[in-house]
Amino acid sequence: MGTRIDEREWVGRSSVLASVRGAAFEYTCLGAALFGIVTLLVLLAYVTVDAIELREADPAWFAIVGLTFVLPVTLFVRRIWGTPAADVAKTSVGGVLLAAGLGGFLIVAFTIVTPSVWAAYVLLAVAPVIVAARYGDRFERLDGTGPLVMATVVLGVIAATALLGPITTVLGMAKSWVLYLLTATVPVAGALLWWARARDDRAATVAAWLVVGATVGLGLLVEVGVLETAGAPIVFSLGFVVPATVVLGDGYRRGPAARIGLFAIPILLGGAVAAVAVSWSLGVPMPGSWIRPEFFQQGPSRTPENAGLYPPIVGSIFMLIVMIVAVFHLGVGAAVYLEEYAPDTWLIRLVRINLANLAGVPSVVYGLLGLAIIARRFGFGRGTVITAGLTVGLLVLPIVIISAQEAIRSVPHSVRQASYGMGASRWQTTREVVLPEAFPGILTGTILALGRAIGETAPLIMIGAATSVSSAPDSLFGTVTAMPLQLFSWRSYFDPDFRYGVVAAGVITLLVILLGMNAAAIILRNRLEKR
Amino acid sequence: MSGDVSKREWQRPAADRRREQLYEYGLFGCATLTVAITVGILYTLFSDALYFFQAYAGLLDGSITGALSEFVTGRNWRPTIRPYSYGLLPLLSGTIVVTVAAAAIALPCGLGAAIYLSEYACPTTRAYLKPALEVLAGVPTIVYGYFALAYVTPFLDRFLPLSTFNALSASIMMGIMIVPMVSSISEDALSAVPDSLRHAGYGLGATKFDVSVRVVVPAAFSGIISSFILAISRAIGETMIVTVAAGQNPKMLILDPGRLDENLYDSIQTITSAMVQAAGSDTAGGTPVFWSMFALGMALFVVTFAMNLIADAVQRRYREVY
Repeated sequence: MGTRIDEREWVGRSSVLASVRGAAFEYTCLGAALFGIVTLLVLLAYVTVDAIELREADPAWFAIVGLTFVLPVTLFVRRIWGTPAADVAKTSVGGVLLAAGLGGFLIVAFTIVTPSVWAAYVLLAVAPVIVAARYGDRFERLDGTGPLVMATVVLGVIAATALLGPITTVLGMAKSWVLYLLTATVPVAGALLWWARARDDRAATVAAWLVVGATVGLGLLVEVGVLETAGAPIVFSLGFVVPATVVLGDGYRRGPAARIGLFAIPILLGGAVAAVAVSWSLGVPMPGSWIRPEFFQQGPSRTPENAGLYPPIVGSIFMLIVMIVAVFHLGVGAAVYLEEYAPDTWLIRLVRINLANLAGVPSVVYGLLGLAIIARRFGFGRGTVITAGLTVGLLVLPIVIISAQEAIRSVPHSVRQASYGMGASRWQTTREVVLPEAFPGILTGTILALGRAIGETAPLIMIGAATSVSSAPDSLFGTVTAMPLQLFSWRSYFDPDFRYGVVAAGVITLLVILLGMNAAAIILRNRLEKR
Repeated sequence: MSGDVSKREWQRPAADRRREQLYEYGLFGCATLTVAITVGILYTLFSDALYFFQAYAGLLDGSITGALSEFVTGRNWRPTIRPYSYGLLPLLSGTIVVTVAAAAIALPCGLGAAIYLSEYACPTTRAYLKPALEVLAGVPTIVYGYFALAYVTPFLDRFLPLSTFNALSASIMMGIMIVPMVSSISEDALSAVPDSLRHAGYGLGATKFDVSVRVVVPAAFSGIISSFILAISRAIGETMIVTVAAGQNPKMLILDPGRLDENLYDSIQTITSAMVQAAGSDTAGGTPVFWSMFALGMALFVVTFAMNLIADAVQRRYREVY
């Protein structure tokens, strides 16, 4: 950090040349810093214009959008600029968008996990674990709880997998909304109510009842015959309602002055709806955007109009799930060991140096590792979901470990000493004191690492993942493709509609998802750190 | 870490101590997994590269050492067309050209950004500029490759005789991608320079420019060099930008500064894009093309790993100065 000394005041007065040179240097440095950012912004502007075909839009359409959308939004932003309301507006818009993204993620995840399979695993693998953990706590048999919980997890998963056929047949007789109500909504609502009581968080209480209400309401719509099935809406509401309510509740509690920020969402939504409605009623053609619902519902195609991103999106989500399951515990475990336990021996020093170097190994090399060991030696197969997930997981593992280490390191030592002073053991201190404190940092680092993983292409090509798959994977051993891979395969199409339309839409989608994940990391960290 | 506390462990019941031990072993296992990954990478690369050299020796009717020397010194990379030949030099020269051109953009920009952030920027500017720079590193490389192919090449084509696939636009995008790597590590090094040195400079009547350029930058020199090495290592290992935008044309380049421009305007191939091409071509395994990926991967790993170690060693030095 430079000391603030203005050289023009007392030193530079002696020489005009020196002060000119100083200023020139300062602005050159600023220019160097801005060069990359500005270039990227220009390219992003180009790709956005291409993706929504703004070039061919009607001037009248611009006028309508300006009047119904841009003008109200600008006025609103000017009104709240610099007040606490701006903060509320930012978090509420970001939070609601993220909640919608989470809901979409759950819909895709639950297209593969049918209600009866979900219910089978919840009943046999998850419920007993909770019972075992509660039992252990209740009777204070702490030394028995760990093994008991472990055993329940393993046995439950084995039992659920072995008995999957008969159980799903039995469960399949129940309505899917009843299954979701009992195995997803009620547990989520219960957890929320428990949280609300512990933290005095009224928004969580409201969210719990909203979730139950949504599930029952959608179920009734099915019973009445208005809806065919309620699975997707219920799953979406689980992902959407909880975070949205919590974020909005947070904004509401900030007081009347800040509460104005909550109007950001109605103004944005209303402006968009008004723009569409006005241009439709006046007969003004809308620009033929490439980012449209069909784009997310179709698979690859030779014609640009029919090309879509559905299989790669599902593939990316699948890989994400494999990575979260495989990498998170390992990474946090390794970080905890290195920060809390590790003695200063040559082996540990080797591990530390090696970690920094692993983070710098080119991603193609990880692809070779995945191909040779995971795909061929372990026999998980080339281009399957599990091979791809594990390969990219290995790639981001060093990043997860390093960021978790930083989060753990930033927990003050006095907190640990206090815990030891109360007679807690090292593991108890780690679990009850250090990890909860470091959790926001760990979570942020993990989400950022997963964002990096979503954008990786080269290792996937190396493990033989298909660049274009016509249907989404439906199991861990299905062939997978991912969003960047699909972009890679589209690059060879010279048709301008592909090159500047479909690919631009794909690029925007990928960047929006990555930005969303980064924003989620930041919002989560801010929220958890406030507590 | 708080070693004196563990002396009190004997007071705990045996079951508790056993459990604590169990957790410690489990966590130790997680940590050693990273070493296992490195061993796995080394084992995979070297054992499978050996298959390549065996296959290549068979192709050449020579020995493995002959195949190795042919691989290292060969001036042709023709993996799929007869007569097959697997010489690393064309790919190496392609890699060097792209890396040098990317470094020519990233090193000055990154260093300038670091100096601005550390010496000139006011806290508000810093708060916006720093994350904005970090975003550059977060954009997927395939997106940079697409930008290079679809926007940068057509734009530059108006002024320069470019082919559709060329080293220049790939290098520009790669340079922009690695700016944050240079700037963040260099800025750490610049910020670590104690303020007393700056005050001493001002006390001598130096201007802010003199203090920045003649005092702070030299004091942080090893950190800056370390960031340069890491950035170059990243550029060597970068894959998708060069695969998408620089083409697949392995040719020996004339590494003569006077003729660098004709190398930049044409399609080239780097080590990484040759690996992607080998993986993408229809190779079930067993053919020399398939195994050549591992030989290339080995070369890449050795180079980048060595550079990362050097950067680490250099960076360690500057921390010891103060």
